[in-house]
Amino acid sequence: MSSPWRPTRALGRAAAIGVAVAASAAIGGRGDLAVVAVPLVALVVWAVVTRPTAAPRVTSRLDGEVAHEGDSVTWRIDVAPVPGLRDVVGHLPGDRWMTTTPTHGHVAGAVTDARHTVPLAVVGRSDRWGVRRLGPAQVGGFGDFAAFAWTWAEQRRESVATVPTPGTFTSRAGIPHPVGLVGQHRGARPGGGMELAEIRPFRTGDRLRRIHWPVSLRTGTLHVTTTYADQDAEVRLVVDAIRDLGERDLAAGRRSSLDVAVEAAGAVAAHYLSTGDRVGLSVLGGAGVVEVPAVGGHQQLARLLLGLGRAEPSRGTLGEERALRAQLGRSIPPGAFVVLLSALVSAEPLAHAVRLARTGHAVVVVDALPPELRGPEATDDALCDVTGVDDARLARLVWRLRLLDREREANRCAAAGVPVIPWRGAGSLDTVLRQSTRRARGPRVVSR
Amino acid sequence: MIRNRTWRRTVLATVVGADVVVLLVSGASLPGFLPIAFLALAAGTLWALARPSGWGAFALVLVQVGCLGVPGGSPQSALQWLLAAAAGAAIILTHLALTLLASWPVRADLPRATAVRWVGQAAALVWAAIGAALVGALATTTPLGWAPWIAAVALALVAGTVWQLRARTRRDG
Repeated sequence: MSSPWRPTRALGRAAAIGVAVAASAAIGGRGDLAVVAVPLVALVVWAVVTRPTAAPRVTSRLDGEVAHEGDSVTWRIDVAPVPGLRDVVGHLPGDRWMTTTPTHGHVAGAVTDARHTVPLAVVGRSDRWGVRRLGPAQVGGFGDFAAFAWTWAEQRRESVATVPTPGTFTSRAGIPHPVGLVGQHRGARPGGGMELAEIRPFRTGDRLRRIHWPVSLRTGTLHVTTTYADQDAEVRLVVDAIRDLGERDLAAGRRSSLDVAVEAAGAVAAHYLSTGDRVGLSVLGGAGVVEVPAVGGHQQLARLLLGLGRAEPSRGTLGEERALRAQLGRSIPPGAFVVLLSALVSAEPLAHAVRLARTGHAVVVVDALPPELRGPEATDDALCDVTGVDDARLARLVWRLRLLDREREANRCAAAGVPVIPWRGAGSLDTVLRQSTRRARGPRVVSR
Repeated sequence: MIRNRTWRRTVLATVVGADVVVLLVSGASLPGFLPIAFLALAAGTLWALARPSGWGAFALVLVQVGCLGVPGGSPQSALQWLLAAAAGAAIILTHLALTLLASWPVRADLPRATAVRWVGQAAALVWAAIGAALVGALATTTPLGWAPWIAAVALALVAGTVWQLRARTRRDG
């Protein structure tokens, strides 16, 4: 088996010049050249005698697999020393949204004790939610005088799931038709709750404390008050991650459509989980199938944020298209309140929203397109990036047409009973939820 | 850790300093050769520092050897042997400096332990050049009949050095 250590150019240079000068000194009887040749030849002999032969063992590890936005993780590569190994160098780069320290990712270490591994480490700060990738790691080692070099054959990569920070959202409006057992939303059926439903004559089985004495005295027969049941609801968040439009630049206050959608989804999830509802998540995009079943409780928010952190724009592969079709074909329980967060530039999610509305679900579409891309103030660079057209004038025209198309699709959604609202944080959903609740009390035609 | 800017500047200064030494030694032998040596060394240095991992480094060391070899002759006096030792030290330091520049990532800092080891090893090689010059200086003033004995002592020194190196390597392993 050949040695993993290779002689370097430096060794070749010292050997070639050293031998040539020594030969010249011997032939020409030149003592000064012999003085020049001696250290070069000595270097070659020294390097060859102490050359390493075995390949060092390398281990790679991250000090955490999950981080929050702004958190730092340490990527550490340990190189176990072998005889003759003197120095270890490495390049451990981060991705675009991972700021590493040192910034360039070049690190080095020296073997000081043969019993201890040589650590190479970079600290990476995750600047954006999502799967942050580190690597590929390039690690190498040197013997004495860097005369022999070794390169780690493996180019290791690591990844950190960065959980997004949810935005702020509150809502005072109830969910249209909650179907759970116990919660804070006014149900359609009578039961134990807070909101008065009616006053009716006493029936067998009614509780005595429900007797409404003023009406009973006035009419001469016993009457009781009834209330609507307080129920919990299932909220299904559907994040359209098929395309990510816009550029994230927090210094300039700009965010991409997926940033807006993820932040809004996190905020809505946090709110409804705090009110005791069950919240589920589907991410339609390029990161494989991200489905979080609807469950309540404190841990669910962490699961949802982790799922949102895996959202990635689609790359347009056949597998992704199949996964998207499978996700869109999944049934959603009756009575679930569906919130679709989308930039409204992909047809499939909108068609899905309309289909759900026709089967009796309450559906709201939240427009996640960044405001700077909606109007004429969009920069040429942003439009070229969004449309993929290099010519700025043509890109502006293409984007204008796309916006018109988008407006038409939003209007069609609204006509089909699916309101489309822009994301404005707290209270964004209140108006449409109140309208939906009023509509839900009336008779409905449902196609099944 | 030694900041990358600091160690790189030191290494560059070493290369330029070695060029100056070679130039002075060359000029001492043949002053008329100085302009040619200067031009050749300047071009070689620029090439070597621009691409230390390429042929530039080889060319610079070769030019330095050429600048010493072309105008000079075999040293006779102690001063000439001293100049030869300085030139030998300059060439080995150039080689080591270029090797460090080529092998170490441009932006990486240099661990202090690495710097100490390189300096120690460079000093050992410089002492080898000085030792060779000393032996040469002694040889020029020594009768020819002593040659076999001196050769035997030199061989013993080489054998001792190799034995020491092997012993140290085994101990490290």
